[in-house]
Amino acid sequence: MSSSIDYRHFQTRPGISVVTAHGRQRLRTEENDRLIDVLKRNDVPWSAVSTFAVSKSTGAVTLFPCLAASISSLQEFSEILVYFNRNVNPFTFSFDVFKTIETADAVAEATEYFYQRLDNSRSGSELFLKKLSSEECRSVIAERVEETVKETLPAGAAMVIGVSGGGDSNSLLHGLSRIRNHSVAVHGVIIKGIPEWDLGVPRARELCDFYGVELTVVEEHEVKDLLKMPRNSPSLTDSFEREFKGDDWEFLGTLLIRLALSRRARELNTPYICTGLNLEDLLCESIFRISTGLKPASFPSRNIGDMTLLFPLWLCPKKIIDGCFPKFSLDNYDTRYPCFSLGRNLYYSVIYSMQSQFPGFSEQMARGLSKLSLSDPVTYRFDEQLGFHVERFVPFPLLHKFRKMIGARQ
Amino acid sequence: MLTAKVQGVQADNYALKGEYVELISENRSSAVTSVSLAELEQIRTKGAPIPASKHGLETICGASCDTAAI
Repeated sequence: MSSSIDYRHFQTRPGISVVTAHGRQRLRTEENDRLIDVLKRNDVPWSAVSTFAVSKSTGAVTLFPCLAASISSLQEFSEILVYFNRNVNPFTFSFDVFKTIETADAVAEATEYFYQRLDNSRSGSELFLKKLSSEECRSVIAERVEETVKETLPAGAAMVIGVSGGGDSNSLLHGLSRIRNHSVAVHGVIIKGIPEWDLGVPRARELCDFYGVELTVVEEHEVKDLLKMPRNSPSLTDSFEREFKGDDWEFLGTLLIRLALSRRARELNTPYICTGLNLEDLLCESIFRISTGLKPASFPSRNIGDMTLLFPLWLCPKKIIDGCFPKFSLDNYDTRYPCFSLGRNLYYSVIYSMQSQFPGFSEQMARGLSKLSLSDPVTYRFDEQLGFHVERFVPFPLLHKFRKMIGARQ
Repeated sequence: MLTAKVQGVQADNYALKGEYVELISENRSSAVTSVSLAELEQIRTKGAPIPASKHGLETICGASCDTAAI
């Protein structure tokens, strides 16, 4: 008589449990999981744990680092105990339970956003997934824009704003148009020079017409003038690509926009310029700066030379901005060029991860950084060789490459 | 006017968002390698800060935003 025993049922995967001072929590596992996959799926930070294994045969508990181990290969253990190395409750901020809040009047949803109430008195947190209609998004943005403008811009002042034709511009213009009891004379500027920007000009004209805002279109040759580049020099993009291969155009773009807005502002005899940097943009810049030993640059208002740069969308998450005019936002996504700089990738990724895991914390961080930045503002000096304001010393090799890019005499 | 080469590369990069690629590896592997602890600690504690831009352009361009939000 032959007998065959199927041993497979003995080869069970060990249970995985997180051991905290607040109790033990079993974690769900899936086929082919490594322990690190289990931890990540359950939002248990690998850097906060020590792992111990319980022998199936002896019951002995031994220290067993095994983040990379496949769970199915750990059949000699009945359990893997993942000890949390701090007495906090890592699941306080879990996304397992949240309450959904529908749009007002059950109208069409344009976006959704997690709001997190952090309750110090109860030592707890409450999570809401708010569905937002476009109208709700616009009302959020309008309120934030009004609040910031009233705090930073004198009534009756003129302000020059960068208009790209995309969703952010539309939201900012909409917000500015809804300010009550505090007149602001808005002047729009759009610059040309790369395909992504050039495509935005017709939309920018439409937007400015709609809001009754005068629009200045800065042609590529005028953009070159801002950097004192010869008009017959190669295109901006070719010049940039030649000297700064593998880098991101946006870095030059942000400078060109500031110079264009500043030039127009001087023509209008106003010191106020404005761009649509949002919550994540300013947190990203701040995390780059503080992690490299620089104090945060001021926001929501920043004095650069004779100009004051305002960021009315500083407390507005991009997801809610994009919900204001979804079609414009989609068009904007479709014309997006990839970013290759490791740094820009890193700092945005850090902020998005933090915001996604702890939605209630980003605004606290932004407000704290704003307070810090305004208490000890960064100052900018006029660089004679470059012809515009910079903050810190520019290393000679970089200065040389930049001047070569713009065709300056060396 | 963009050179043909730059134009070609840029056109490809613009088109990437419409193509399926493997940004997340299907193969969840943990290969074994050999790097000294001293080197790892050097990486961890003495690694140079990462500039916002590959060439550190934020030093010149970054007054309005070091990480190039527009």
